[in-house]
Amino acid sequence: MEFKPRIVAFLCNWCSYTGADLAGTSRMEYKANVRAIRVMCSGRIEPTFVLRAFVKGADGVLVCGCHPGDCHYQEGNYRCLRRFLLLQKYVVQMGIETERLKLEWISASEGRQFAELINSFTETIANLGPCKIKETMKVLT
Amino acid sequence: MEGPKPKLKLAVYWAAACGGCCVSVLDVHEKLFDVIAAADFVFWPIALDIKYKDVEEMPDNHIDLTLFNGAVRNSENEHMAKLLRKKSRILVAYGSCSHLGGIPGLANFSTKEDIFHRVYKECESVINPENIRPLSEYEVQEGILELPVFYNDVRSLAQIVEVDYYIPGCPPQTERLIEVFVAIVTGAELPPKGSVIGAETKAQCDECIRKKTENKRIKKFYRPWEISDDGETCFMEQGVLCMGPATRAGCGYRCIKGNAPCRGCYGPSSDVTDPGAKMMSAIASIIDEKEPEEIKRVLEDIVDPAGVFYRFSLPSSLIRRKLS
Amino acid sequence: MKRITIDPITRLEGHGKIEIFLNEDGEVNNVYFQVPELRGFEKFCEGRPV
Repeated sequence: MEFKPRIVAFLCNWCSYTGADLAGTSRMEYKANVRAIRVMCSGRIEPTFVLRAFVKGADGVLVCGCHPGDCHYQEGNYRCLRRFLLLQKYVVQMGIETERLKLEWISASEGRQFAELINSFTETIANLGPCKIKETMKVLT
Repeated sequence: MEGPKPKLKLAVYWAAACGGCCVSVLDVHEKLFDVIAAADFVFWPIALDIKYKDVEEMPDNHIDLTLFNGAVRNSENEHMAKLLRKKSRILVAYGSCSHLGGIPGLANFSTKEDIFHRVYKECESVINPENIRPLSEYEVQEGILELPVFYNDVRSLAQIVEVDYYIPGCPPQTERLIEVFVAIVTGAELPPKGSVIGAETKAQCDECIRKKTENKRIKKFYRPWEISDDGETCFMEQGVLCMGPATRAGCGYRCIKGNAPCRGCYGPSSDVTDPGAKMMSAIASIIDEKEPEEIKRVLEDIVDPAGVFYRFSLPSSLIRRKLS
Repeated sequence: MKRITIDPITRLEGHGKIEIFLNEDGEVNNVYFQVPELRGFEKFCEGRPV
């Protein structure tokens, strides 16, 4: 059976979720493997969310927010960036391929960029294969 | 007239442990006389010559309180965890190793094969030309000798059996243990099953008396020996990583009193799923840079995030071992 | 051949097991000492800052 990537995307309400919405209303086609989770600000996204997504079976996690300087809450996206960079170091140490976690800034008008992001990220994950985390979590001996 | 209250039966057992928790129990010093006035130790390998088969022969729930320390590393640890669960009325995960996995939990970055290779072949002080490895069964002319099976994963106690209470710390503060013991002996009402006891509910920062301001801005992380600690200012504000914000209070911030930053041995404060992730979140929030390259430069000084943020809690964190 | 197992050894730090084999005269024929613990510090300390 062909591997169907499962991707979780955390999207901030004001920019990236709206951008995703625009992609939808403009009838742009993009791969259906993504589950979007809307947060009010990318600054709300904490490492626990991302890690739990992986543990629950996500093969790839996307984090999207407003472009630097455009955050609806001034600086939330900078927090997101700093957390993301530290989380990336940790995730690599734990043996999860760095390509499985991606941060991209998507503004409210960037529907096309969102669709392209989903398509390219899904393809990256499809090439990487399923994340081995579920098997690893099962084992005692 | 009522007869004397029957003495409580206590047990202390160590799995993959260092002995520190047993020492923390011995550290009651002369209060030991008060302890043994109210309780009998029925199993405690460091102090008493009671054997595993004696424990096997005990009736179920015979032991009133077992303090189980050490992580579950092999089949003997697992067997003893299950045995002591059966034989104990109250089973306490005592110390970081049984609470969260502890220092031995760092072995979850490796596999059994990697560890055996390093220990029995590669290690600089080992001479083992025949590549002899421990086996769980080995035939000698007199019969079969057995050793426990070494598991690939380290586990905390709660990942093996149901745990009634957790007393955190590496090792737990002896004064807190005495408080718990007194509560049990006097029949005080115990908190709900599954609680962390012998500790506070808030974070270390709440207790720590070092001077803190609202202004935590880090431009560089330092190792403790790289700064001239003024002895008064919050470690984080001096650029030294201190796990205080993500660590439960209750130890009397004893490391900080010794001018060393907290390492997080008491584990998370209440209701936190993954303390390391919370700490990563907190650290990242106070880095005072905006450009990705500058942020990366600051993060370069955190060479081992997983080891630092999950020093005591790797097996019980969300991603409890390195993927192979 | 009688077999006496001492498990665990006690009143010291660490884990150990002793297997004693006696002959028909009740004399000790052979004794095996086993260490049933390993934590792997030699491996997991690598790469950790001191």
